[in-house]
Amino acid sequence: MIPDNAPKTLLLQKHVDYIAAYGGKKDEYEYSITEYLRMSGIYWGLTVMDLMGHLDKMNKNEVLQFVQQCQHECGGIGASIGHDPHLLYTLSAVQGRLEAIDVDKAVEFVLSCMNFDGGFGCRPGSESHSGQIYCCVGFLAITGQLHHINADLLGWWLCERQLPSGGLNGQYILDKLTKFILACQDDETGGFADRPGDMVDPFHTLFGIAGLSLLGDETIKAVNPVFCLPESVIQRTGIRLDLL
Amino acid sequence: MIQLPCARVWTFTLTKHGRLKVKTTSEQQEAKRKEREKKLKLYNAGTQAAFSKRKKGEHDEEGLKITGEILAVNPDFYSLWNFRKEIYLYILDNRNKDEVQKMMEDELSFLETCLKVNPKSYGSWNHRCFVMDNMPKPDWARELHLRFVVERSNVNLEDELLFTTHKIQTNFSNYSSWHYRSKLLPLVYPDHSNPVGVQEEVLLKEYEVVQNAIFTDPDDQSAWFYHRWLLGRGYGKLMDIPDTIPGWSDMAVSVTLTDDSDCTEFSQGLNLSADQTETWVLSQEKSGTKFTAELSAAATSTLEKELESITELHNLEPENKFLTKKT
Repeated sequence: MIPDNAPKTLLLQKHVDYIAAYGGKKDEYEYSITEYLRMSGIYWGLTVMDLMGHLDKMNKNEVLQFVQQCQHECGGIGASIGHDPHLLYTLSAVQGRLEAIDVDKAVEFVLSCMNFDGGFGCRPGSESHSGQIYCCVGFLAITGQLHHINADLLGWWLCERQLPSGGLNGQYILDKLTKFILACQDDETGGFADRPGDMVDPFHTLFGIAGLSLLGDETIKAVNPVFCLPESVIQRTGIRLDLL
Repeated sequence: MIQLPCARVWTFTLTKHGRLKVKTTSEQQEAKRKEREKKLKLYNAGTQAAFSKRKKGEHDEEGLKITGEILAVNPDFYSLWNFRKEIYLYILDNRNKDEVQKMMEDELSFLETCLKVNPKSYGSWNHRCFVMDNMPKPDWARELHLRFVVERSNVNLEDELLFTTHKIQTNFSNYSSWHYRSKLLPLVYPDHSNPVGVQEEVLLKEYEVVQNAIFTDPDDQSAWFYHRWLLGRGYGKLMDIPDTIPGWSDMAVSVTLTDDSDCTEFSQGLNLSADQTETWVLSQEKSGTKFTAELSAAATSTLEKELESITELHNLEPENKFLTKKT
């Protein structure tokens, strides 16, 4: 149910301001308590700023230095300095910047998470999960290592284990979806929440903006849905979109 | 293969979902701000202390206290679960069984409070599994609401395997149990000469186990995935043709396998037409040489019997897609 007073247009500048200020003095408690996912937060922040055309507002050198400090000897990358290596943050770091990390070691780490069904868990030994699989396949695509995947097996897994997405009845659904996403904006603070009226955060802000881009909003840059990165980044890095 | 990013929502923002934005007066906001500032000071001090202890290699009750305070409010702080586990590993090596049992029982209670904060926290569940695996006397019944209690002085891999057997017998549609089995079997009954890494006789018994699951509920996918793994089909292709070949046209390829130890070779020609991306060929190599991977007589016979049964079942349930694939 969308409240009547929910936003109906894209408040782009408010979102730019929200992300640019995130991690500053405001909401320090929330920021500290989420240190365990900082690497992903960086990826979300950078990507959404790029999509909105304001990447210049982020500090490139600071980010690169941070990522390098988070890589461990085993190749895995932690969420923040001093945090243990973890699959999700290894992917987030790679989506940020390939040259800054030891890619071979990171690939080794990711492959050690592959399971009997062709899928991936979040740590070596953990059960396959579709979220993890999305991350690992994205990671292996970005690093040109898709040949390690048994495409048939994994494809089968995904078909069987995913919930049915339901039929898409064309334009009607897309319009409803757009309305819903716009309603998730906060017109006071900027940013998007998971549903109208909830607290905003950078994660949902990225996927709200990316979603609107996929739905055709031309004030936002084109986004590549496989990597959830701007298309311009994919083109610039010359990543061969290794598709399965 | 295009996937929308919504899959990631599940993975790491569970604590951020569904937090209603509540409007407050400026006095309320100020009071709240002061409170959060205080909380933050304690939180940061705790985090620093925990990291410092870990760096110094201190594995003691103080570490449990500090990490406990932080994890109670933030059970997604995965690195601290890892540190807590390290402390327990040290305790396991250095305290008597009764002490360990008591501490781990307390740990299970602590975990219950963490799970109330975030019932889907991977960190909490992983740690809970670790505790159950290592308790001198794990109370499975309490843990799993099952009727039978396992009294053990040491929980080891064989017991874990027994546990998964029990879980599977109780409920075949238990993907986690099959998954754990696929990890445990190569550890408990290793055989590196086998493509699956598990001893042959054990594999043959596993065919039976999985068959029971399949015949009880042919629509359940878990058992089918496991069956495929048993057959050694979970592993990737032997080799890929390098993708530098331009264009897609019919091609003939010769593949040569070389044994590094004695440089013997085996060659096979393959044809790939323009619209194929994968091809299979039956090797002409004599059986029993090092380049063939055959099933033993026992495995062949087991699988042949299985094929008969599956064919029967398929006749009874022609709509089942798994059975159609298999036959």
